[in-house]
Amino acid sequence: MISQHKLFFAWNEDKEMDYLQKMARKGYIFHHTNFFNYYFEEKEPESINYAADFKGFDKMPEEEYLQLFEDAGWTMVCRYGAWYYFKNMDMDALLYNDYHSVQNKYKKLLLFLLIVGLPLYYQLFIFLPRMSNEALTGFLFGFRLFVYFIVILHFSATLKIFKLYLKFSKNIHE
Amino acid sequence: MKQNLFSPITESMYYILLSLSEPLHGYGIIKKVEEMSQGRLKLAPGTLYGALTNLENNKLIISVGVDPENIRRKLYKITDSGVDLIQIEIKRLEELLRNGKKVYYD
Repeated sequence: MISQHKLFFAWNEDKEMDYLQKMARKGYIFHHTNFFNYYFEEKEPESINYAADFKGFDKMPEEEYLQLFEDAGWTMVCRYGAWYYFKNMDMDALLYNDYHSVQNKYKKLLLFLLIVGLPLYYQLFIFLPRMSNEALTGFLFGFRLFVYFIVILHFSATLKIFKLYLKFSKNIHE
Repeated sequence: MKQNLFSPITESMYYILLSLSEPLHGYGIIKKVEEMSQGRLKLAPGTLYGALTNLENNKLIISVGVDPENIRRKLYKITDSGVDLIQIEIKRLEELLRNGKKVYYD
């Protein structure tokens, strides 16, 4: 098992999938991922089609969801949070067959970001202003910087995904 | 014509509703739609999954049990409001086709 450090975000998923495909063609077969680390098994080089899906908070149970993908030729490689990584030996296979449903996926992602973002913005707008003056050094200052950093990251992620969402609504599909 | 706020629906949604005149599980829907459209429309699992969740939340389809061979495959069927919707869609699509033909083929 080898691992590589890589930074990919939800808005450049295509790049992430290209990376996994390229690795597979070199004989490094994607095994799992956690926090910007990708783990590979060394095997025979292969052409593998990878795709990631965001399940979100839907009520459909995981077993039924995975069975549906499996029946359609997509085997789960691993799960990371609410993201599911699938592989398919058919290089032309798609996870979504219309823009309408791709857009729906990003809608779920936005909803998720909104919900996890609420405590973050609570910190920024309510908690942090209240503890002003007294805490400009030490741990609390570090904490403050950390919150700012996460807020910026969250805000730009939300913005990028919102842009993607808009991009997919600009088609004239019914 | 009666108004239905779900209309218009996407092509994938239309074919999913149409296929569920009999109880089917997800993969059964994929195969039936492929057959009905003579191989043109291959539903992808992400699209189908989203559509099933959406249709079920809006009570246009209902789960009617599981596949006896594999309980992880749930069976769905269209509801009365689903039938209403698809009938309205059929009339609407007929109108689109009629007007299109009038302009370009008559």
